[in-house]
Amino acid sequence: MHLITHNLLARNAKGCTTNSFPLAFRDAHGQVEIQEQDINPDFVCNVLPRLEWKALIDAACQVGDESLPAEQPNMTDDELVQKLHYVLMEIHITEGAMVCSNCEHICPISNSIPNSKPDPKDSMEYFSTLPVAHLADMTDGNGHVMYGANSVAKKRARVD
Amino acid sequence: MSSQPPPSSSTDYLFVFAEAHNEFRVPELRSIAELHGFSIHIKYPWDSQSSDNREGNAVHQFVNGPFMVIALESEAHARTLASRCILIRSIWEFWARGSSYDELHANNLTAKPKWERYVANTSFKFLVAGHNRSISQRRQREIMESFSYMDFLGLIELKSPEIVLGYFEEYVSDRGKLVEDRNKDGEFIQAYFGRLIVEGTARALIGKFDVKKREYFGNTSMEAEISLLMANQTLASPGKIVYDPFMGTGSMAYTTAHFGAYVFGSDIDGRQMRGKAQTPGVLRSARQYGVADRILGLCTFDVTRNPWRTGGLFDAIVTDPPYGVRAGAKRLGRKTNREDKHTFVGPRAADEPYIPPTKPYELSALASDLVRLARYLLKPGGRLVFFLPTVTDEYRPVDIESMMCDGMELVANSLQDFGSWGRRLITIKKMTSEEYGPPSFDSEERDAASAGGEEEGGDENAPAHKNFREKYFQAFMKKQ
Ligand SMILES: C[S@@+](CC[C@H](N)C(=O)[O-])C[C@H]1O[C@@H](n2cnc3c(N)ncnc32)[C@H](O)[C@@H]1O
Ligand SMILES: [Zn+2]
Repeated sequence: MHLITHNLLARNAKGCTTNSFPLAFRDAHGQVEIQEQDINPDFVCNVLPRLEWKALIDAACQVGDESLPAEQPNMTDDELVQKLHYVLMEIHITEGAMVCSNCEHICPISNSIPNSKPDPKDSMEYFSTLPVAHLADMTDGNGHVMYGANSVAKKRARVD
Repeated sequence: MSSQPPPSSSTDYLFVFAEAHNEFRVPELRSIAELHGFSIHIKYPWDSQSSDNREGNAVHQFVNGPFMVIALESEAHARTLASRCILIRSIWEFWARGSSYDELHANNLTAKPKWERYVANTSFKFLVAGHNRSISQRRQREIMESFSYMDFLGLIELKSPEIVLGYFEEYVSDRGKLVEDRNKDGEFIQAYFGRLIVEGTARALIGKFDVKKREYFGNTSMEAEISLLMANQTLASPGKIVYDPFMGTGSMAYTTAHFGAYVFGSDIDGRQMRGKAQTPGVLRSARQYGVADRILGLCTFDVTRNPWRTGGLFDAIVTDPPYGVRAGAKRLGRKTNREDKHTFVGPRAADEPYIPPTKPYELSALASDLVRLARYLLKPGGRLVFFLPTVTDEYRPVDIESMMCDGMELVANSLQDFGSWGRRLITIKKMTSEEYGPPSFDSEERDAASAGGEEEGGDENAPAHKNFREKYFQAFMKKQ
């Protein structure tokens, strides 16, 4: 997960509206990787107006980076774009969790993908909405197989 | 006819398209022209019914053939289109057309100023081809000879000619007709003649993005050609930010990122995005295509309970919503009726700690929610590009209107026809710079609003994609 994702997502639990942003990192320290990548200044300038600066600085600090100025500069020069690119796109969090400081809901991160779904304590039933019987081996007008719920359902059941 | 006359400095070009996805051709041309800031003017075939063919939707009702005459301001524009539009096979400088040999040759004589300069000593090659009718070697020769009045003195050069001349005959399809009703030589709808400018290079991308050759794909993956057409509808270009809220295995993310955009993907089911290996499947495929750097982020969540902190984030949203044929729509929440027998306990994936209960999500609700979500999440001028499945016999244009809302405008609506059902690629543009909040995703609230205070009985106005899954199965059963 890039820090830009952290900056754009808030907790979405029902009834938790104040202080739900930014989420705090938990257990992320050992799982931070730097992955270099090509910079695109247009992209950086494209997201800049939507960033929450303070949240970005805090998040960077939590994972040990202090390259950005504490206050958002008025001028966007090359140097700032470089630094933003590094913080937004090159710092990755591969494992860990983010916690809502208001309701303490946890958003786990695994294999670089955060899971922001609510977490009901009581159930983990999973409903298929597909009428399985009719769907096997149907073909569309071009002779492409329309994929059957059968295979979807079986696949899901197999996942371990 | 075009509502605006072409600029006086324009040149006419003959476009030869791939013989598929007819309704996608004009929207794609217009998208790429808009992306590069120029306009196109369709000169032939024009629409006989409508006075407004701006959307290109009017045009397709008339044409199925792969030929179109289009005025452009410069040859550079033709080259730009040929390098990016998936459906372009080739573009020719247009010299003449006609519905008979006499008419074609008469028009070609009038067009002499266009070809005069090649008469003296330009080497050339002459191509003859037919649509819906193959043209024998003997007839090819006869046709070439019928142009001898042009008096081209240059050498005929098959390997590297200075110019390539193209002649095309377009016939109606006679598949399934009785022998005596089949096409006869020369009884074409229209014949076209011109000089090759450029061959389409973007079609090669269809092979590059072939799903079967992809590192990671699934049974919801979108075929390459359509994923590319969708990417073009988003106006993807370097530095833009695009979002797929039903990411699945990420088919459109790769094509969109290929054109330089950064892509964010989310899905209610994280396993769709990650697959089984340690590195998430979507990232493995992105790496294969050299676009891993442009996968901005992936996140697991229900789009109806999305955690976006703010709106106005994206240049485009591109998505294939779950309409129940391949992958059903779900939303988190307790299912109210439990008649659905296909429930099972989802085993816990080690990396997927919770699988909250889900309930089906009606397609027509999904479509209008999606338009409102796009109005919230898009920047002004941004585009929403998505598929809407429809039962062919029941589709009416009003179905699209019923999911629209203030500030959003329909740009294109292209049918991919599978017979009794089809799916429409809908392109909608955010016209407003006003900020709108997120939709409530509350179906009861929406129904109340759209019923306009009426009691029941509002079903007459229910869009044809409502209960699509049930209708799809009814139609399918009928066919058997
Ligand atoms: C038709 S598939 C999209 C396929 C994708 N374009 C691909 O290339 O694989 C629809 C996806 O929507 C997801 N989905 C269903 N309900 C959802 C919801 N409420 N929120 C987010 N994703 C959902 C499904 O898990 C499925 O992966
Ligand atoms: Zn919270």
